[in-house]
Amino acid sequence: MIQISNLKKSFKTEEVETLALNNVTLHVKENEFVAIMGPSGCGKSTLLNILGMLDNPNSGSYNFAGHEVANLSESQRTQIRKGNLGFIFQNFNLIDTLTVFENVELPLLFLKVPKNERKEKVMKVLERMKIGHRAKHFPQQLSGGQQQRVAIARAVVADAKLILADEPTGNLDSKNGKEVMDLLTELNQEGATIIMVTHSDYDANFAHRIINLFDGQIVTETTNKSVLEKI
Amino acid sequence: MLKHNLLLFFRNIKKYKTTFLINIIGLSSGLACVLLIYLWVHDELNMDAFNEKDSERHVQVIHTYPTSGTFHTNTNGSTPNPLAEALGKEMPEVEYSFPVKADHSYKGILSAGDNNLRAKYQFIGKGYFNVFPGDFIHGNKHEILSDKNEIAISKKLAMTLFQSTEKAMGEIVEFKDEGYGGSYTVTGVFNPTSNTSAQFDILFSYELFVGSGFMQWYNGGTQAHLVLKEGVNLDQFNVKLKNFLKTKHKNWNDILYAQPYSEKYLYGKYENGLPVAGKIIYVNLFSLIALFILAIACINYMNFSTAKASRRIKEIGVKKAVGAGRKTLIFQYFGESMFMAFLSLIIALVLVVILLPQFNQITGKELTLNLARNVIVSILAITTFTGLISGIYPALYLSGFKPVIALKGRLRTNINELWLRKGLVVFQFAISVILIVSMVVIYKQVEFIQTTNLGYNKDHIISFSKEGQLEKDFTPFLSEIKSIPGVLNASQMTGDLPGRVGSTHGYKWEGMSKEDRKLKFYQIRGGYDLIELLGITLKDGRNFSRDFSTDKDAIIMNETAVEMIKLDNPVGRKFGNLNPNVNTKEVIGVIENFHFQSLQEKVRPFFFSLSDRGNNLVVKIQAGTEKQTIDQIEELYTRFNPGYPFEYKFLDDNYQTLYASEERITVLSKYFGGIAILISCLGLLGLAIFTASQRRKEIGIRKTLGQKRSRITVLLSSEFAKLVGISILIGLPIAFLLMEDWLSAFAYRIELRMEYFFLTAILTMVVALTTVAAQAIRAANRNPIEALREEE
Repeated sequence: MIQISNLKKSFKTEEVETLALNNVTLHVKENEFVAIMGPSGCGKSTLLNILGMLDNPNSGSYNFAGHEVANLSESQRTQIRKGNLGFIFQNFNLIDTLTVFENVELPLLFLKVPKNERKEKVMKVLERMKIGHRAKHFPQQLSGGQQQRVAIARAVVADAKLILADEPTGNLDSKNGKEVMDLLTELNQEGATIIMVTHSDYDANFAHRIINLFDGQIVTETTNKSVLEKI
Repeated sequence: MLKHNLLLFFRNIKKYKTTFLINIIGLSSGLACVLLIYLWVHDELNMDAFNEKDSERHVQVIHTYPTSGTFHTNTNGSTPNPLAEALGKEMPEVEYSFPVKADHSYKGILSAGDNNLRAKYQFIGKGYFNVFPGDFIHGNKHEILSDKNEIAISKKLAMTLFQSTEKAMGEIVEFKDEGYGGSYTVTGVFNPTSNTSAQFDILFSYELFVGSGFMQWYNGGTQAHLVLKEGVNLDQFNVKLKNFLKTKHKNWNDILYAQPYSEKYLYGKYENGLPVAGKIIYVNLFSLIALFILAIACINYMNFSTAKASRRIKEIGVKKAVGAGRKTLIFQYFGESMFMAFLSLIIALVLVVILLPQFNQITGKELTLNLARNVIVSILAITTFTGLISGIYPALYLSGFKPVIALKGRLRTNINELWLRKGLVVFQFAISVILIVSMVVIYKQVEFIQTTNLGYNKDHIISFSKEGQLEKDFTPFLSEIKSIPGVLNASQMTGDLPGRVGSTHGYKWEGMSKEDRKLKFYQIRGGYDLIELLGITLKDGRNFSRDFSTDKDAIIMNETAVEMIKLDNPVGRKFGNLNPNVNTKEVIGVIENFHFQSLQEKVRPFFFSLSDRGNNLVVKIQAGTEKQTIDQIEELYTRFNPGYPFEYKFLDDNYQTLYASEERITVLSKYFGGIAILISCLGLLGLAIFTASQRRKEIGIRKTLGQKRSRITVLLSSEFAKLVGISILIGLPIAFLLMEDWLSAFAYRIELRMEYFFLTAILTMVVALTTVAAQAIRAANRNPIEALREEE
């Protein structure tokens, strides 16, 4: 599904240039669950942003579902993101002025899904995330765990092929964290490809494969046999 | 999607009430100002523009003659009386022509039974209603006045005299006026037309005027209207027309110019016989002020929307991540500014309805918020323009964030954006500074006009027409009027003060040069006590006196006349006339200069002479007794002049009328200047609140490290003080240049004093700093822990 080769990304400030990704090459198969780990500043989030087409690399190739996307314009990337990619963030990134229902509805709105169908899909996914009763509440009225479930609902409501999660349990306690990881596992088992950035060994153990980054380079790649054996 | 956007818009309003209030107050008050100005400008631009189809073909001839080394144009449209007919016959480019004799400052008396009414009248030639609008309730406008004994009257006159427009038709009415008195049959009743500068209540046939015998080329006062043939090039026609009068008299150097009638109202000033900007200057000026006020209000919106981008950055990031394109976001933010503009329009319309009566009082108009199609279209266009201008920058700015940066939620404002935002604040305050200086200077100039020593005392003097019996013999009336206790003095005079003073040339005196023959002298002919009544100071010689029978050929000159004729000892000198039929005068006295014209004019050569033929009676009344004295004068007047309504004017009111437009500008600039600074301050307040909240962490750290509250207050305020300071530095020189230009139109004017500029600078700074300091103090007083905890 994803094939990146020799990806480079650097950031320039007025005085310094920082190399965030240095010749990264990675393949992710469809329905795979990959965890990316590494110390702060190693380039995990940069890699995730590029994989999520939120940013472009400086050089290298990125093939997504058979299409080269490394040098696409912002609007072309938006078109591909729409409906194909779902995002889950550490700080949930829910829009405060929208209700739970409206937050989850957003991707369908941009896909121009008819109103009735939208309603049906949103309610279905909210029920599945066990927050259907909170549909009319605003994010501030929910606990952290509930907010992250809303964010997951938003990521999957449009049947995204790829879910990108950036430290999804970073702001949650262990109980809520476990629930989120269970949900991600379920989604993966139902066919979604998941790439997750995490600091947590516990969370990483849910993945099929663990990639370790250091100074913008992949230093190790470990297959999680215990998980694969269960499949 | 629209529903979603509206939902977000309303929820953001609910969440950020202060921002919303600042925006809505700014935009709606700005729009209300703009709408009021629009109604006024629309009315001015449509004045006399009733003939859209033929606006270039219907022209009025403007007559200019050389005098005192320069040119004088008859701005009232007066031309030689036979001109209209002659041009119609002799110029092949003219399809037809017609004369109009109108002097709207004179009124005749129309009587039916015991009802007597004073009304404005004019004489019109055939063809008048081919181009002028005429809303006739009774009578056919193309057929009326075929006989010179016919008259058409306004609905108002018909209702007052006959209580019905229908009954008025065919009735005989009496008209009392010099030259045209007699009985006339009413053959038409009309509704007055609103968008014409020509206002009258009575129409006569021009044939009636022809019958009065003033139809020589040297007789003037008639307007010459022409309708040119289709395809005639006006410029080429004007080349031909310019020296037309030479064909009547080879030494006649006067020049003619055909001006489209619809342009005359706005371009009614002339230089060397050619039209220059007249009222259009005020139309442009106020349009510019409207634009400025709207710009200030739009800038507030722009500044808030961009400064508070951090509040919405997450929303932008999420939307982009889940598939919203830039166009979708541009549409959303444009939609918000548009919605805001239309919401403001509703409030603005309410404000306009509330303020319109007051505005009409100031402008002297009868404007209404009539929702005609073109007005609605214009209002919608103004509102859409407001929405677009307010929204364009925020929409492009907010939709332009990269999703990665937006999702991080930490907005780093780049230096260019910061400069732009600061630049907009500077622009707002510079405009406010210009408006405030203008307000102060205009106020001071008008005050100067009001309080300047005019050289005569205009207070407590009334004037009224010398007509009817009084015209034949006014002496017994004057004797009796002087015995009324509150009357201090009474006399009679030609013309009116200030402004309506006649002038002639063709005088001769000892030692005059050839050039001096063109020198024009203004003149008031009046009674014995006139100079004393007006409180004019005699500088040399003596006043007119009944003891000298020769005084009927005596004149009393002003200082300017003495200067112009270059006589060292003018008293006793002869002042002859090139016309051998006119008696030579003797100068018996010299008076100090007095302003018999507007202060926009220099005092010109002038003299008083004695005459019984003045058309106005003037009475000086003791201060404080006006009411009972005027009642007694009226009683006396009605006794002497039965059938003539007593209508009087205070000389002081005449004077005020002369400066009506300056008065209007003073009041309007006061209001608009006030609103501009209010909206600017609202903008500043919003930014101050925002900056204080942005710098919460910095303030917290500074306080933790022991910085004093006062120092923090100064720190926060100084940034804005710098911006306002720059605005002052930019605004003051511009205001200086603009005001110098405006004052240059006045021959007698104030000088621009430093204090006006200092005052404005201090006022602007104080208002701005008061706005900002309150926020700064609040921020400085906060517990530092709160700020630091929030930032964790």
